[in-house]
Amino acid sequence: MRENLLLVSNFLLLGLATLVLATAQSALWFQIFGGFPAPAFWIPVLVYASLYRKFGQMAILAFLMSLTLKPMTVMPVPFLFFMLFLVGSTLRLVKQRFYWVGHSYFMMISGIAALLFHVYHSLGTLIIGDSSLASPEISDWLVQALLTPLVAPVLYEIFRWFDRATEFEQPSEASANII
Amino acid sequence: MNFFTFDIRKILIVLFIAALPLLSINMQRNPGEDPWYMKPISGAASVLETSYANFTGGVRGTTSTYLDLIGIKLKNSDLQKENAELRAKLAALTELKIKYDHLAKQLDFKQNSSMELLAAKVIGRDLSPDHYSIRINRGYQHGLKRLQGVITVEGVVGYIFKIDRVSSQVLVLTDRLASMDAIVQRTRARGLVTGKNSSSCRLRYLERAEDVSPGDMIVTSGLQGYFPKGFPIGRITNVHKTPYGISQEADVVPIVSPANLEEVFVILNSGEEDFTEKFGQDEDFGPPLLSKQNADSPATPTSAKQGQEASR
Repeated sequence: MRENLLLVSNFLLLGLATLVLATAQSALWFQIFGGFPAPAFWIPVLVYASLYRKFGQMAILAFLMSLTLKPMTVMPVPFLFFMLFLVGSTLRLVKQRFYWVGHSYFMMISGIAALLFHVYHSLGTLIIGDSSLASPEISDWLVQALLTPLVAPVLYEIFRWFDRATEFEQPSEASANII
Repeated sequence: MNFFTFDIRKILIVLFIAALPLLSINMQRNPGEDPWYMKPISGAASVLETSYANFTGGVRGTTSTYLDLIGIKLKNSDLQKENAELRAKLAALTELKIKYDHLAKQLDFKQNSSMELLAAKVIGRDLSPDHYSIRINRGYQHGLKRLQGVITVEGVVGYIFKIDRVSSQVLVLTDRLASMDAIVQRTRARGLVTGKNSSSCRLRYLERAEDVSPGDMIVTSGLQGYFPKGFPIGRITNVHKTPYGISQEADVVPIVSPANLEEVFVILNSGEEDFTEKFGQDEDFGPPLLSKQNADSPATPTSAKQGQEASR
């Protein structure tokens, strides 16, 4: 019972972090820097979930994240969830190929994830619906992919603290298998 | 010792001493002119004095320049500080003036319109750079409803997409998920404006036979009642006609750039306002309802009249 409670708390903390970070990206950054592309503050949550959670847990967190992100974007929840799930799964595959412990890996993967999200979104619009992306904002994608790793180390430490606070068992590296 | 024995040296000394007053008297005879034997001495003294004078003058000059420099440096520092303060004040005043002009324009627009408008501030933007939506600080608590039109003084911004209690999400016209009914002002051709990218839209489903050309202005049709009729949306930049098919498409550059939005109006009730008359075909884009004092472009007779009434 206690373990389940701690697990739920951990998920809720990560969900709360997503909300705080996404609103910071949507409103705080906008108020300070105007139209300049913001780092995808919320992406490290997905990266953390993909790298350090079981596959099923990652899927649940991706769904929780898509619900949390919905108020800040016009993307529909199913589409958003699908994109997050795809990015998360890809990151797990990447982790299987190469992985090292430390901030630098987390930073690099956060940058890749930020870029992947936009690529998948762009491809997704071609497949789903009749209004495909006419001209993607590639420069914004790149700026975001470059800025996101800068905030990743701080967030990584915060997420680790969440895990310690909720006594979350760190999954072993072998648990990063996709299935 | 012989009385007549003379010591010639003593005699010479006595004579010299005796001659000194005479010499002095002789020198005073022509005070303006040095005797020949004084000339070398005077010359040398003159040279030395001049040199001393130049030297002391130079030292004094250098010292005073140095002292002046210290003063100038301090003064310069003070002036720079003052200049920075004045610049900051000027920037603040300029910002205030811009804000005042902007608000005055908006107030003028609101006063001159029969529409029920609610001013809102833009507080956020979409998470994805490929979607164009903004968040405003007004929600259902303020009487907002879904699909209500969002405009600025210049033209259409978009419409309310999702409402929360104290804030709402506005789908900007340039978003690819946005669409709204529109007409070409010149020919009254009807079409559907949909978003394309950050700076342009598409006018779709235009009848192939309709006369549409670059430069034509696109305005709201007022069909659904969320927008007034004839309110500016954008201008056609390009017309695409495929060799087959029953419709044609046009690229439209919207008047309002979503990137620079700070304040908007939500149309609570369009009041069946019709801008077709107020916003003449010959005029360039611009605020259709502004009074003459605030409008940069010449106002139509109707808007000028309304402006005068407002100023009264």
